[in-house]
Amino acid sequence: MKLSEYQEYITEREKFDFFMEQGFKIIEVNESLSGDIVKLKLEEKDIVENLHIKTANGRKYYTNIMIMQLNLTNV
Amino acid sequence: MADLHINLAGIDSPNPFWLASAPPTNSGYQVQRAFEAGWGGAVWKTLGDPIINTSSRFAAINFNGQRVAGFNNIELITDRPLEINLKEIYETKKRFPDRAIIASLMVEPKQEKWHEIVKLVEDVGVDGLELNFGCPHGMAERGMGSASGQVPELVESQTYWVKEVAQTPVIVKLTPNITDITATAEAAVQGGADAISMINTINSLMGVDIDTWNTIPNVAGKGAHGGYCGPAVKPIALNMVADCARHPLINVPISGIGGISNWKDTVEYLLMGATGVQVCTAVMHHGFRVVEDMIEGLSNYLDDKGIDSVMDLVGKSVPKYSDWGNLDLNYKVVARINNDICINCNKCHIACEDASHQCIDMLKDANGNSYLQVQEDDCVGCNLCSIVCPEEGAINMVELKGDHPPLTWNERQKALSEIGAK
Repeated sequence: MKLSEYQEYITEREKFDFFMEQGFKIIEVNESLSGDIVKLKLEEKDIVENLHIKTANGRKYYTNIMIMQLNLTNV
Repeated sequence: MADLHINLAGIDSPNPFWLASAPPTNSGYQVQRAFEAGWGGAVWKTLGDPIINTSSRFAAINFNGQRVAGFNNIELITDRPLEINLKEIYETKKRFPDRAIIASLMVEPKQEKWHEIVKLVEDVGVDGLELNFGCPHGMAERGMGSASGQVPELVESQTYWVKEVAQTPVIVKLTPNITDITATAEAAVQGGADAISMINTINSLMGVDIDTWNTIPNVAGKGAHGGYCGPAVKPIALNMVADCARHPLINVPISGIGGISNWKDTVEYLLMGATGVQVCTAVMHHGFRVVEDMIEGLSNYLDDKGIDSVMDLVGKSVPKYSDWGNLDLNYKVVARINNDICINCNKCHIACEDASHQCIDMLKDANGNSYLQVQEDDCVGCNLCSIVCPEEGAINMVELKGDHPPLTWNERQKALSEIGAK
C-alpha cells in the first residue's frame, strides 16, 4: 500500500485545529519513539486532552502554533 | 576586464590559480612551462630529505565514461637533492618575478630540522612556505605528513618552530584524514600560521584486480594505501574549506585544494571562503594549458556579474552555510514535471516509488498518451526525481509559499524546553 503521509497529517491537523478553536493551549509535550504526545488544556474548564502526533508535518504544525502561543505569552 | 590579482596572506599572485605541490611542480622545467601557460603561482613539490619512490605509483577511477573522476597516488616527496631544487627555484623566480613560488616543506618534527630547511629555502627567494602536514602515505609511516597533521599539538608546535625563523608567510597544509579538520586548522592558527591550505589527499585503495587479485596500483604484487584526489573529492574538500571559513577562531586566509578542474570549481571555492586555489589532478589529466580556460572563464564570469576584482568573491557564500539546526523547517519545494520536455522514461517514477515518497503517478490523458504527474501534497521536495532525470528542464523544483514564518530545529527545541517538554 502506498504511503500517503499527507492524508495522515491532514487528519492530525484537523484534530489539532478543533481543540485550538475551542481555546485549548499546549501545556506539555512528551517526545517518544512513537511520536509526540501533545497535552492541551482548556484553562477555564480545567479540561486536558492528549493528541498523539505521528507525522513530521504534524510535528511542524503544532510547533508553529506552540511558538506563536509562547510569543503571545511572552509579550 | 576584471582584476584577477589576489593577495593571500601577503603573497601576491596575478591570478588565483596555483599549481599544488605534486608531480607537476617537480622541477624548474615544469614550473616555468606552467608559468608560460599562465599559472599565477606554484607550490613546489615538497622538499625534504630526498626519498626513493616505487615504480607504479598512480591509479584512476573512470566512472561511466568520465576518465579520471578520481585519482590516487603513492608517490612521495621530492627525490632530488635540496640544492638542485633550490637552484631551480631561484632561476624560476628570477625569470618569473611576478608569479608566486611557495616551497612545500616536510621534515621530521624537530625544531632544528624545521629551522634548517626554512632558512635554506628562504635564501633563494620563495614568496612563502607551505608546511606539508597532509601526505597520507609513505612519509606518514616515518612520522611526517599526515602522521603529524593528525595531532593538533604537533601541528601547533611545528608551525610555531617555523614561525620562529620564517621571514615569508607560512601556509599550513592540512590533512582531511581526521574527524574534524577545524581542530588542526585552529592548532595551526595557534601556532602562528599566516594561512591554511586544504585538503591534502584522502586515504584510499583504488581497487582490486578481480583476475589477478592484486591491488590497484600494485608494486610487484603488493599494494599500500595511497592519497585520493581529483573531481570526486571536491564536495569533501569544499565542506572542509567552508567549515574553516565559518569558524570564528580560524581567521586566516585559505588556499583551497581538492578536485578543482575548471573556473566554475574555482568560483565555488572562492565563494566558500578560499582566497585562491591549487590544482593538480586537472593538470595531470590535461596538461598546464587548462589554465587558459580557467583564466578566461573566471574573467568572463566576473565581467558578466559586474564584479571588479576576484577578491570580491572571497567568502560571499560563507554566511549562507550553517548547521542543520539552523535550517528553515517550514521551507517547502516540490517537484513539477514539464510534460513538453519529459520523454516519459519513467526514471523519476521509479526513483520516487522505490526510494522516496511514492508521489509521482504514471497517467494517461484523454488521447491515451502517457504522462507523469507529481502529487504535490505528498512531495517532500527531496530532489531525487530531478537528480535522476536525464532531460534538462523536464523536472523543476518549485518553491511553495508557506503559511508560517521560518522555523528551525533549534528554535523548536528552545520552544519545547520553554513549554516543558519531556
